[in-house]
Amino acid sequence: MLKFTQKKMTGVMGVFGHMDSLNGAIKHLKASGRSDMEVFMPCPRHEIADTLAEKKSPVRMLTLLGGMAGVSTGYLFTSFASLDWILPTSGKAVVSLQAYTIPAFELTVLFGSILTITGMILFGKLARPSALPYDERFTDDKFGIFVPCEASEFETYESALKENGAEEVTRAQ
Amino acid sequence: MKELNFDYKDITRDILYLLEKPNKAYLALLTFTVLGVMVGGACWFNQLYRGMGMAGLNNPVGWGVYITDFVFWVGIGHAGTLISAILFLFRARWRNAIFRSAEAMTIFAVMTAGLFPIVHVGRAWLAWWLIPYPNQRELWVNFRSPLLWDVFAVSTYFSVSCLFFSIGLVPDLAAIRDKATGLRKKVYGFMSIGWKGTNTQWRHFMAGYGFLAAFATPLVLSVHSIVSWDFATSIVPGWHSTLFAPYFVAGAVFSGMAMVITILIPFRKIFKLEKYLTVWHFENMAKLIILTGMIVTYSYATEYFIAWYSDDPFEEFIFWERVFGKYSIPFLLMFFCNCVVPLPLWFKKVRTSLPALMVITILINVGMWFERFNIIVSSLAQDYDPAIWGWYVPSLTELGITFGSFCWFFMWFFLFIKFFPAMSIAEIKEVAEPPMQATSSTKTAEVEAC
Repeated sequence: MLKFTQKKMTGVMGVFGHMDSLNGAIKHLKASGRSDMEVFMPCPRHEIADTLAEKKSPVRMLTLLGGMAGVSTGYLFTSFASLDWILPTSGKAVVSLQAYTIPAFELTVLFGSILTITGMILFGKLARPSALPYDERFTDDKFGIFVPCEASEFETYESALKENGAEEVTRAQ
Repeated sequence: MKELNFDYKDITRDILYLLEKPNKAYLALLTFTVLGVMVGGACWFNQLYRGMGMAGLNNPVGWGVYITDFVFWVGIGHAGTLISAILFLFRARWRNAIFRSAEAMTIFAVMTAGLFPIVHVGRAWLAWWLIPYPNQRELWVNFRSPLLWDVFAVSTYFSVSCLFFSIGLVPDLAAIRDKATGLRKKVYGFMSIGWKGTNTQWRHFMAGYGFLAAFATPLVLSVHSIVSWDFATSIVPGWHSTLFAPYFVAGAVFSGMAMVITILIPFRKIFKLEKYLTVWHFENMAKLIILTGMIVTYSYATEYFIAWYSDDPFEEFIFWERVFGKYSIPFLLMFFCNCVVPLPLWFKKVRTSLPALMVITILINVGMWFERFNIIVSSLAQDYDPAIWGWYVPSLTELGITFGSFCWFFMWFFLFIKFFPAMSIAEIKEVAEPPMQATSSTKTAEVEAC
């Protein structure tokens, strides 16, 4: 039987009221060799994304896969159905690929969109239990950083976050 | 933009205020729309019970108000996708305050449009035969038929619009969850699928959102093109034209944008959203109306030019009849509302006057409904053989169902604005100035200096 167990995350959480302070804290942490922190934002900000210098999202691979599956299904399914039940229409070819381009296009978009959303959920770690600490103000007007670390490193990161403008710092243990 | 410099906290508070307990005016409007839906439902039941004779449809006009309504509502949906997807790709900042309502409108408009083929086929319980599926009769649908293309186009459009809309809602549902208590918190917590706004989530969200927008862009252009091919692939005079696809798409955006303005002006007033839905937003939408209105007018002129230049007597006749024949009133209404009424929008004073915009956009929607009626009915009523010419007048049943469809559309919209944020919290914050230490220090220094 499957069991969903969540290993409790330990670390330090800093709450920031200003984006430039948050950006400064990220830069400081990155300079000290930390790149595994999680940053919380009420909306996407390119300034933060630029500082984090993250890799491109792999969602695009699923989008491509979905699109390819859609276009193949579109042409194959319509051709199969036309050959399975031959319906002669004013001398037109039984398998009329030009006409089937429309269902193929629609299925490309449909399958591509479905797999894109699947990717957004899978890679974004949505719709599953999460052990990541959270503050409800992060969807309102506050920013945050969570630095995963051992209890012995708490003080180091607490002072690092406070020095860089964190309004509150809490420990998750 | 100076107008968009709001505090993050104010944005959350003001938008969540829309979800507060409804007032009496809202409940009265909702009740009216529900009653309207019941009137439409009763008319449809009457048609199901007594047969298709209750509709005014008969030879030679087999397509009438139901197909007019179908095309009209599919068109209304177009502005939503244009605003949410195409303007997203162009990074138009003015879309952020309006796209959510426009997107919701798309979904409700397509839901409304989807009812009409079912109503139109008469035996509604057999409408699912349109769907290609393996069956014991070993029959498949005809994939060469534009009517089947329509099934694919409209159902894909509806599905993708719903996906795009739902995933876009997730960060805002999380914002509601974080402010709510009790059962409400649980429900919004479930719907926000564990959103925490982390950089990992935003990274994949923004990448996926961009791809969805890129998919939705050709999709929105294809849907009304495919709807237009229902007509253009036939050999009926007045329909058989390669002009139809761009002509229909421009008309769809024209009418959809007009509907967005018609809805947002009272919405802004009732919920006191003047701060977020500024005259600047309406002016930009009005500019799009000018653009698409000019394309529509140009298409009308081109249709007449093609009819004259073709030297085809049937084609020439039908276009002559549209202006001077039995259906001249729908034609004149169409021409006046779609070509003449939008002209004052060239003046900034008119574009920035909300009462003027309200009147203009309502008239545009009237005109666009009559455009579809004019195209569909006049061509069928008088095609090649004068011996089978006919005269079609919509029956009370058809008009009742049409009235019900408007109420159905508005009913969903009214419900939507009370259960979901009608403006995107996250995207308005995205265009607002973020809280900065540097700015607040300067402000404090200024206050101290004073």
